[in-house]
Amino acid sequence: MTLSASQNRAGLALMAPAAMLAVIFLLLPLLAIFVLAFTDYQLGDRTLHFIGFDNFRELADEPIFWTSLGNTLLYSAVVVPGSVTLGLVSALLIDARTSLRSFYRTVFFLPVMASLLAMAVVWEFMLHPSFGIVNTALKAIGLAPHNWLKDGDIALYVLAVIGIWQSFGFNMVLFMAGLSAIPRDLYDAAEIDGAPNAWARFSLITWPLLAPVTVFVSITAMIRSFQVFDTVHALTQGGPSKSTEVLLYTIYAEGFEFFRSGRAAAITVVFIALVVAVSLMRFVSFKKNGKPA
Amino acid sequence: MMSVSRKTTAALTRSAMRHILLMTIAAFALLPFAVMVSTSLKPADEIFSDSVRWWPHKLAFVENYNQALSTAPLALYLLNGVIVTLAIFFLQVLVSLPAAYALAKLRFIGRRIAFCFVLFCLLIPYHAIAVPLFIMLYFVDLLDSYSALVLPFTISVFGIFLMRQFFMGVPDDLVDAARMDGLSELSIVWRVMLPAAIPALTAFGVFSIVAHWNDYFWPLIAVSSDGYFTPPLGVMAFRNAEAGTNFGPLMAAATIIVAPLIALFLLAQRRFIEGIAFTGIK
Amino acid sequence: MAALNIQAVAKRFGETDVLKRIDLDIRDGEFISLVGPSGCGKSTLLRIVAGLEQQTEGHILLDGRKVDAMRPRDRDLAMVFQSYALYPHLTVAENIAVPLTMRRMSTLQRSLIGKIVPSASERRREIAGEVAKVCDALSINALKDRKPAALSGGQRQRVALARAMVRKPSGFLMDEPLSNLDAKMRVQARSEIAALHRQLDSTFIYVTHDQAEAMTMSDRIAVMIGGELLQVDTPDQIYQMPQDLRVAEFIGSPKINVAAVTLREAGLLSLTARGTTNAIHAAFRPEAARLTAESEGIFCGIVHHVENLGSDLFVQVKAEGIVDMVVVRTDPAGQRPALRDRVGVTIDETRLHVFRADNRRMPGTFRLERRR
Repeated sequence: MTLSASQNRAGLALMAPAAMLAVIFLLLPLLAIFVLAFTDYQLGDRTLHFIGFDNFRELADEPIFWTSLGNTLLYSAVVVPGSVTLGLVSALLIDARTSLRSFYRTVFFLPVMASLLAMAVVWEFMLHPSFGIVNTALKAIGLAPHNWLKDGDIALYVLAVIGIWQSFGFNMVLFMAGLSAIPRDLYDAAEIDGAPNAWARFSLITWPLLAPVTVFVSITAMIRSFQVFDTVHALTQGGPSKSTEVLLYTIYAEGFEFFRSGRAAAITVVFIALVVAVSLMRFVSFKKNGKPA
Repeated sequence: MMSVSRKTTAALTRSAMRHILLMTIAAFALLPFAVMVSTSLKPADEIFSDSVRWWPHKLAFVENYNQALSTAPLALYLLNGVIVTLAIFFLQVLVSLPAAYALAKLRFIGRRIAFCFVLFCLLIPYHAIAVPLFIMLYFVDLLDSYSALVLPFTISVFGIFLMRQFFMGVPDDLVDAARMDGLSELSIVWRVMLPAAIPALTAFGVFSIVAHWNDYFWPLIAVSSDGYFTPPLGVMAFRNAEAGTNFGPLMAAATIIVAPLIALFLLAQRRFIEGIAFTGIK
Repeated sequence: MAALNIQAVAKRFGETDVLKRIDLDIRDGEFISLVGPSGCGKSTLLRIVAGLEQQTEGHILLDGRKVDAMRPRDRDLAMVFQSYALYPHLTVAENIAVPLTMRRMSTLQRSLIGKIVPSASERRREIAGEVAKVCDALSINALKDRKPAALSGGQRQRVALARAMVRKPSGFLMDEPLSNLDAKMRVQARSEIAALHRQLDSTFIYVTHDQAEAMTMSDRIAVMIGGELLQVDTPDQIYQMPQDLRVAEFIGSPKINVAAVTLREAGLLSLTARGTTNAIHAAFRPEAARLTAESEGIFCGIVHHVENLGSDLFVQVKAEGIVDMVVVRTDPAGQRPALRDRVGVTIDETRLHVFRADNRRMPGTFRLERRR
């Protein structure tokens, strides 16, 4: 009785600082988003003026919002398969008891470590229409150069390639951890059972046993891809003609350039819904596999 | 012996194929770094020539780096980066460790709700609450300060979650033995759990420091005077000031900004990669 | 059915010799055990036979054919792993079917598309029939739809056996298949595997560190220590005529008694303290010794401990000046010595083994000098 009472007291006391900060910096702001989304609040206002669903109605009517949402999903649809596949292929190639194993692992992980913003500036230089290395190389092999970041048809895909470049090493590390958890004995057994080639071993053992990791990595990659911002802000500012406008960039522009906090909050609600929906997919998939996270 | 060598040939071919593929991927991963460093060493006329050269005819190392360092206070940006990331990590540990210990080892009223709240907050990226955070800091007049850069990140639900999972694996006997020795719950956190948690804490440290050193979104919003610029903001400021055409010094600046974390990574790469893998899988 | 010849097979990892030129001929249909302490190279030898590892030197012959360059799948040998190595995501029936699908179905037929290829469904039916037969034989029919995680250790072991049997290989390689079972299950599984061998009439190579397993199941035992093959013989011969001191020490429980001796004259040995280097050793099993009155023993000592196993009574005698401890088997029904009694010990000299300093057996008959 006294023990549990003192434990209770100690527990609450140890939780207190974290709880207080969590309320101030997480819970209240989160609630504020859902309040602001129903107001026409602008930074500096001292009062809140509720306007019901007007923000959402306006957004639904504005092509720019749908462009932004569509671009975010399209970006994600390129980056997720790209970075997950490249990560998996790298992990598989490295895992096959390759010499130089740690060299490759380090090199592939470098882009994850480097400041994306600084590297975006480097990419911008590489993609420079007249003296960027990409166009120089294309010209050298007789192909037509492009103005990569100023062409509305390809700019988003160019950003997606940078996204893949930056994140595949992260996925690779997660896959390598997953691969090392597969017992070597199984591959010996497959060899004895007559698996004729690497593909048979992969489809019999690696792919099915890696499935939970693949689902996890894909979902993580998707959530991260929804948060694309640095490259957009540094390289295209959403342009040309809104072709690289993505949700987080729209939130930034509305909230911190035009200071229309209400509208920014409304877009944020959509952003949160997207992220939470994908995160919940993870719980569902883990439940189905009967394996906890 | 002939048979053995036949098997070796096949293995060699496979291994060669593997290395060719891996080298291609490695070239893709390394290309921007190579371009960055190579350009930072070139004089302007070589940068604007349309032939690809990795090593310049005339080394312009001194000129470019000198100009980078004199045009913008890069050293200050780096120092800001160090101050901000270390302050964030220190405060995160100070706040998360006791909470994680309480969630893992103490029975108290509201423990379940608190843990559910942690799980829920894990889903929300901080970008989502940037707008209200900004308004809040505006009203308490803390924008454009170190506090604006640090305060919102003092609470890390991820840190709490990670350390709680780790503490769950620490045997109860260890805690009970410390209690028998007369330690208070708070001193158990710092004198028993902290030393036991060094591996997990290292992993969390790598995660936290890398994330906040490279973070661009929040500093972009929170500060406006260049005395508080963190490294990524510094690169952008430099680029905008130079109108993006003075590539030699720009690449030198990028190199200076990227170098510290990369150097740290290369020195302790196993720790970094394991740390990221550990925090990634949780 | 397969006869197997291992010819001068050596394996080196860097500087270490894991196997030192092993020669071993295994007859068609034989059950042979490779036994030795862990790290003696027995598992490596088995994996070389299977083709999972490449020898540094020497050859493996299956029915007189060199198979050194042959991949495991072409050697027609099945293997049962210590961990069972069941595919965790496949059901029992699917696990057992793998060796057949891998051999009889093309990559396309095995793939998702294969589900709609008519020839594939015919194959599948035929394979399912063979799987059912094996499941019947091992009475695991009820488990067919379970995943390995839902099985007990004993059940997993049967499934692993079934997967090995299903394609009727010419030989079975078993790598400590019982070491993950509890003691009771192990005894039962021992007799089942022995019965299986009789019924299948195929070659079994069985690796174990448990000499009791080797003794109870094998036609012949090959004792390996430190990468060397010390003796290959029937269980009786291994036990009663060990050719090497290390074999004598490894086989038998409780362990054989060993004492250092000096050779006095033709065949006369006198016991000395153990530990002298380059010594000749005499060894005798607990059942070759007998307790006597103090005055009648070849040597005497103090009763240190008495172990009653019900069927046997093992008396540990501390014999000062010679060996650390001598274990003597007595009949529990007979007279029981008390702790700290002084007793004499005599030894049946026909069952005395003498080994030279290089551990090899010294032929001849020997007598022991009485110690006063």
